[in-house]
Amino acid sequence: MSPAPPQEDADRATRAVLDQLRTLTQRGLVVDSPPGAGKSSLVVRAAADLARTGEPCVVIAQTNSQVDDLVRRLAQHHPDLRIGRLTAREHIVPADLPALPGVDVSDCVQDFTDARVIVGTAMKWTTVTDSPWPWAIIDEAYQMRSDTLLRLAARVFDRALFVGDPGQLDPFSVVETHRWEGLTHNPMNSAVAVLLDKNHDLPVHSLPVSWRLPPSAVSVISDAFYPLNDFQAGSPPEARTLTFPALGMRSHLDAVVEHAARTGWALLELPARFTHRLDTEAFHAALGLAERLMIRRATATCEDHPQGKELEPGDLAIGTAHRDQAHHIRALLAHHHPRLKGVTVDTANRLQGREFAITLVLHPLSGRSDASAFHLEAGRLCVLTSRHRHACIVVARAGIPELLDAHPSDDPIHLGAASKIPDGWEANHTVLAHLAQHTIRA
Amino acid sequence: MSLLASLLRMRAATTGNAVPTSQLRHLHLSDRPLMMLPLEQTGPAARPLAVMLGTDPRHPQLLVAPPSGSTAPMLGALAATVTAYIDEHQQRSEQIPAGTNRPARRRYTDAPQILVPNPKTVAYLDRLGRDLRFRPADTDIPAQHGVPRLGQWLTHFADRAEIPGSCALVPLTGFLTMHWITGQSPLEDEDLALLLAWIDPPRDAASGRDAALAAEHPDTHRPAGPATDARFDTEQLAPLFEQYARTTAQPRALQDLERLLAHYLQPTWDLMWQAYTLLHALPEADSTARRWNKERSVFTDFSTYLIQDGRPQAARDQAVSAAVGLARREEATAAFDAERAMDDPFARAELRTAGRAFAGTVTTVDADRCVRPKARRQWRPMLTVSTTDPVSMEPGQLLACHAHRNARYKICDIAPGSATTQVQLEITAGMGPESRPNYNVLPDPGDLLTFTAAPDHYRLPEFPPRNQTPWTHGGPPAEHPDHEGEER
Amino acid sequence: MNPLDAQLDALRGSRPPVPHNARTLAALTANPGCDRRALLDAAGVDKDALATHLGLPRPLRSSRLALDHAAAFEHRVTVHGGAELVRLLRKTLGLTIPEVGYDDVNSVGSDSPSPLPLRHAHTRSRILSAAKGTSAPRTLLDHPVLRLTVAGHQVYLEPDVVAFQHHGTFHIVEIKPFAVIDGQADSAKLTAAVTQAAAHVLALQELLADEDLPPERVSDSVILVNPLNFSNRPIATLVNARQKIKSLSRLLGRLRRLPELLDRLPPGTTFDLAAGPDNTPTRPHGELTDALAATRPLYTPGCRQHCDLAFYCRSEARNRGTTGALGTKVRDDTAGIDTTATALALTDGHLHPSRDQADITQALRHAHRVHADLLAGLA
Repeated sequence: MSPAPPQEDADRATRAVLDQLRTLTQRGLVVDSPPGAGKSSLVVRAAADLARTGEPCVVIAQTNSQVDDLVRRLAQHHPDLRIGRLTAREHIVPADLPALPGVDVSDCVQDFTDARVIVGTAMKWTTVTDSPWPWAIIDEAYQMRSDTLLRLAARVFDRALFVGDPGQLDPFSVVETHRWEGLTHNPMNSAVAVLLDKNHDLPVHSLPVSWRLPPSAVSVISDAFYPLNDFQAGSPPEARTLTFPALGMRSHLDAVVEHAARTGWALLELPARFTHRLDTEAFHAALGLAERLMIRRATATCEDHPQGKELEPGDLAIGTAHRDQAHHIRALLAHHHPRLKGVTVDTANRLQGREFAITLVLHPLSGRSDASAFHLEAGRLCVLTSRHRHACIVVARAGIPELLDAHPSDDPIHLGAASKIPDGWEANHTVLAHLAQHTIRA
Repeated sequence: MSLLASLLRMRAATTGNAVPTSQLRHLHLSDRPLMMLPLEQTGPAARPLAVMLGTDPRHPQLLVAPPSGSTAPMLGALAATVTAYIDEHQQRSEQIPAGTNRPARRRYTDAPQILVPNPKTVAYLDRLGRDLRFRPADTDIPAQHGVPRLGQWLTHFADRAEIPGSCALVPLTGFLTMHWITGQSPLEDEDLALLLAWIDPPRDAASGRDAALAAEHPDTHRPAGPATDARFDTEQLAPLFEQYARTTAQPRALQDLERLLAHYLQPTWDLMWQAYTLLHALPEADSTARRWNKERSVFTDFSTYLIQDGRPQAARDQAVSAAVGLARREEATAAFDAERAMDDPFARAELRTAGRAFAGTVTTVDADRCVRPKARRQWRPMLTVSTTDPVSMEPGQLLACHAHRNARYKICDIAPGSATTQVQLEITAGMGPESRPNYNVLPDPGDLLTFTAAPDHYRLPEFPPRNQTPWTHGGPPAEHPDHEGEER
Repeated sequence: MNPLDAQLDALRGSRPPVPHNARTLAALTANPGCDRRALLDAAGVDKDALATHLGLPRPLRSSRLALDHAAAFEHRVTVHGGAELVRLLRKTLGLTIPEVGYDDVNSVGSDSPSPLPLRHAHTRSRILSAAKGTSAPRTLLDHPVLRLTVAGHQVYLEPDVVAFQHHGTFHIVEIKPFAVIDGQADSAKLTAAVTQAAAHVLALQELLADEDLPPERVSDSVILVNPLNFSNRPIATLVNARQKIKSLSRLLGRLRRLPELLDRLPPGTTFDLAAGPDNTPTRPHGELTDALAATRPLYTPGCRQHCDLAFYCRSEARNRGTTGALGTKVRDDTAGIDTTATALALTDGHLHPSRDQADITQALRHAHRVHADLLAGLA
């Protein structure tokens, strides 16, 4: 049976969530969202819906930029709603926010006397001591640690809608201890993991359409990282094209970008070598590819730009595993690639939730002599390979399959702890098997 | 571990001798610690085989459990020794004036400190504590009344051992590796005999490496517990155990066992005191005293808890206690890291190689600079630092400096040159009140300073009380459901 | 005999092969990158005897006390027709009383010189008749013998128990003497137990697949039976072994490259200990170390937890100055440089870095400068 047309499919899913929210008998509802499946739109619609029932609705996101973005969307789609932007005292809100219609900004929740929707970061909400609001919407709930949810649920809200992407990076702690392993309320786990473990009756929905990922990416990302949530691409293959008005030079870099333009994927394989985290040759390769994309005036068509849009540096991102790698690439970019000014260079952690036309990814396992849990983490690779609307180009040293094969599968098992789905080792194999058909050797 | 540590490990492997690292002791070391060397019987969970313990290196007490049958008398004796040691520290207290968020209170002037050979022994004491604290206290034998209480104390100490910077229960291998790096792997460093051979080889050894190889010889090597080694089990213990099971003269068989174990444990006991002497010779870092105060407060609080409430700690943490536990550990980790960076040049050197710090010479100081972001003028001196370190930070990063602990510096600009990088810093905190500016915060041109990434401001968050555990976490838990229906 | 077997026999020499078992298969997953171990295990070389003959410490010797304790616990669980086990499994798997039947395969062929094939045949027929529903289902098979193909060889494996559920699903049951305390167990022991169970799951799947029965009928959740807390009362825990099954299966698939490894050995390479008339090995040490040197090791300090030859490989790694001998952290930090001698020569400027080594050399030299500052009391 072929799936329904994407728009219909997505509308049905959204309607199901909103309908159930109105009549919900349980105290919470979870919505899983694959990359680019319209999570923010859902949050905005649900917030407006809940606000119209009378009581103000609380919206909780994880970072200030996520909060600012939600406030903008709310103001744009619901200019009639009064919106409170709750902020930390030391945080400086972008200048455009206070100017939006109906938006108030304050560090004190009591100031929002007539706001229907109040938006703030989880950290800020934990400092609010007022009596609880009837409803909260928690965005990027899989990025929130369960101990934060414990504080919020005790004071801020009575019932909640949890929205998030289950495939992304798990929350993190500097503390190393096994003492809570296997507990359903392990404070290091994600908020949703604990919530669902403690409340088996909560309904879980999932959004079925990725509006971001091109058709070329959906099946591999879905197989590798979302084995439990099936989703389809929102756009037909013909809607997303990538072309180069300027001629190439038949260099291997040109071959890579051309292959990526045709198929949506490419792996530039550098000669096998163990490198330190700082693999300058790989950094130059990633920057060289970005440079080729700009020089050849890469032009993309999609639903938003059916006539084609020439890509700008801001449409590209270079993703890494480590902060120092991103730092070095930024330094090289500033010195040697003035044309690339505006390209986002950042770690997987910081690219979470963002979207670009083309991403260039430094494979987390590239040049390593062994795979560690950090470098194998499925969420890391998932974030890096699911930010793009058109193409994802991976740069890696040869030898990763052998590295994975030689990896001791001695990850500790803990009784009671749910096994990770997907497992990083397995997800890495799936992605590599896919990339094998898209490999171009330097 | 940093790249610097890796480099020094390679140096040690090449020269054959350990390399000193931090020369400041970050953990308080008691003048009279309780040295504790337990062995676990192979097989049954947490069943003790023997404990050698005491505060006098020359006169250890040896407690041995019979191979089978009740361990209660031995545990009773253990409880008596440990409790007596703890009691000694509850004799004198001092008045602590009220602070911003705590009322005035009393605090013991001293606290117990237990030293064990290695992290595995900490884990063993944790298991033993778990076993003992739920044992019934209503035994008819007065000598065994202290056993459940011992369990509570062991649990408390094992919990403290997970807190960075705590010195209540310290594994000596971990303590030593804070101050020396050997030329073997970290896994081998967990063997106290090998580690000490590298750090403090016997006089007749040509090098630490040679001493470690000699220390490893199967005929003389004694694992420092809590597990006994397989050969010892098979060749020595198993025959004695059999003899004990068959004989009617059990006291004599027990004496044989005691002799055997005394002989087995003595070398490790001596090594533990050798480690203590080495560590005691190191000067204390500045912040060690603050952490010791904290340790004494925690000890006082737990002593009070035992008197006022006294129920055994739960078998596993409930949602709220787990979240609080995580927050405490995160707070302690952040504080310990930050304090070491301020106190210890070696810690700063490690941060430099990890890209979390840079050192350089102050070249210019703009002492009078003021800015006016709001209505009032604010004094915001600027300085330029010239460094040869790679600066892998971004403008906007907040820094701290060991020379002025309360000051904060914001990176305004980073200008890499061919050999040196110029970093422009704005002082954003530590300038004192407007009325009495603190001019000491201004460095002089030519000063050599190390700037480290400033620790995030960390405040221990508030959590709901256990009986208000929210629905998301299963609601309020039942009282002590953990060990109901457990049979013994 | 196929040529591969002949090659492996020559490698091992005159002794009978030490068969693979679930424990050695589990050890494979601990260091799958080690060619030396892959070869020696495939040939069934007695690594412990080899280490003993070379006068090395034997890291994996087992303790009599541990064995006695394990045997006593297993006895407690399986005695009286598995009464205790039946009670536990009934609870864990939801078996109903009439379905429970207990069959001890241990006694089958006990007077035969090679009982394993007989016990395997018995196991196989019992499992197949249960699977096909042609007989009253025997719910529990104690000490069954399964067979797994490892690198083209048939290896006999002995899980503790196979349990059959009326829904048509088989479960591997492992009886282990380490305690489960408040729902937690020693992570290393637990991991080893689950990996062994994974080998048993694969063997049982192979048995079903050979008869065109769906291998999915073997559950990827295994049942561990352990002492509860500080008692010797057993508790059963269902553990998901899916991940271990997948990775073990992939690793076993990789052993197919064995011929390739064998071809790289110099002709005549053998680990024969040349046992004399009184069974004492007489092979000169030098010849054995030459033979070992022909195989590529991958030593890590963790090897001592699962390999008899760990101390041999350690001294070899130390003599070569391999960075990995100092632990994974040093190896990672000096990625691309094989030995500490090279790393230090690059650091101290005695060696000029190749283009590949430029980045790491710069970092090492910086670390050296930082240390020099520290010793000079600067900064």
